Amino acid sequence: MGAQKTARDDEFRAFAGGAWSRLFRTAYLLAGERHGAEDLVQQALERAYVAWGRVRAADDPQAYVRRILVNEHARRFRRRPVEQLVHAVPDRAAPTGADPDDRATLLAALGGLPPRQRQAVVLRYWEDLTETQTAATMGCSVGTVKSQAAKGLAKLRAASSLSGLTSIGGGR
Amino acid sequence: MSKESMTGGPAGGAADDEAAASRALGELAGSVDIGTVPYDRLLTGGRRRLRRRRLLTAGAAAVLAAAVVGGGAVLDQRGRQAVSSVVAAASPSASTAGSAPASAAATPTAPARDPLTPVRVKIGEGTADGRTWQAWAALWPAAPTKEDAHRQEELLWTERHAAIPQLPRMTNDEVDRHWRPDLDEVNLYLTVDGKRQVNDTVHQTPVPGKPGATSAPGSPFVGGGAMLGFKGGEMGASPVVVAGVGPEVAKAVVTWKTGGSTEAVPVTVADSPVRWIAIAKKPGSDADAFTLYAADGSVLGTDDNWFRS
Repeated sequence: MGAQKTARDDEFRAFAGGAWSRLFRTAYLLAGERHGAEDLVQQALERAYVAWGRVRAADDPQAYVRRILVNEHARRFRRRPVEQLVHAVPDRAAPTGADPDDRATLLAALGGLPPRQRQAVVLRYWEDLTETQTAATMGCSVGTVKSQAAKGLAKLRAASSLSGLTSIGGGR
Repeated sequence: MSKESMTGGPAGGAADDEAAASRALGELAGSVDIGTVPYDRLLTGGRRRLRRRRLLTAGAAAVLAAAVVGGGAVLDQRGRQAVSSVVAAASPSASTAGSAPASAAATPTAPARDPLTPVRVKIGEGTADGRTWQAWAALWPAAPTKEDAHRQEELLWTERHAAIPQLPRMTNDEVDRHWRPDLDEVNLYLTVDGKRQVNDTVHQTPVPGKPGATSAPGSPFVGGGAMLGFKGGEMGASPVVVAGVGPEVAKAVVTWKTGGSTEAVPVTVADSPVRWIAIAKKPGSDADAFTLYAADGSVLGTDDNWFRS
């Protein structure tokens, strides 16, 4: 029993160490701020610990935990939809004509998306998942992913008052 | 990298947008400091969840067993009543004697905690920019049944919706999935000059005596926390941090990088093992340290996540 527990802990540690960075960055884009991201990843990994048998047996354990993370994000948003935690205390209104290179502008625009659109955008364009993989992670149809991602992308462009996403992040 | 829509979308524009989005999000995600992996916290939290789940499973099995035994007893009792009802005409006492155990078995113990009546406690107050703020915790005791959970959610939503017009309702399915009979719901919110503000949070905290009711080893922070006062910038540069702490915490002290410190004493809400502190951020200053102390003055823990710009 004790040996089993140790083995489980060791395996989990190794997995968490390897997955933390990627999960954290995904969570950061979903949550919109660092502390929320940390909390989100921690919750997801704790749940993964409970279901470790299924996680380790999965074809892609990291994808399994990513799905837990996305579900956790959706669940939280349902509970507290109006709060958006940010790093800095905003001392002015949301930027309207901000510098396109400003990461904060993109983060704010991302935070303004409805959760499903945000998930679709993050999974498609940051995690680089296919529409099928994104649909599996979000638990919806491929058609939903397409529409949510397209709407999200369009809103990012409009809400951030950027002339085009090609200019975000220094693109041409 | 495979992007199905890049090949199927309108040529040029859509693909450019997607590539630009990938670049921009990558840059954004790459800019965050991911810190070190909190192995201990992950393992502690995971073990706690595992214990809770096992206990719930055992509890459910016990309830099922009790229901089966109880059901058998009631059926058995009804059988006896059917027999005794014949006797009852002649001997009322026989009928009474026969029904007493059944009614005693069916009568539940009166709940000491009402899931439909929140206990509301002010957990901190102060002034900022000449306005008075108050932080509140409304504890809704754990709902013992799904039906109670639905009624509780309706009441909680109604209360929150009055301050948050855009707050969506949870679906019945979501309420079912969210329901936990071993967790209270704690709604944290802020009032400024007596008016409830739009951002709030809802946390689930363990009921007294259940696993997780006390803090994890090495961490006096329990129940989560929130920074309130962002929405609409009600609190300007001085949002209020509310954090849950274990019963062993006697005092919280925040020392500010620009000098000075702020102290708060944890406030108990009803019989919950989680206590709450509320401290407004000093305008223009991050915290140098956020330290929790026990009654004997020993340091229980520190946290460098809150109060950071």
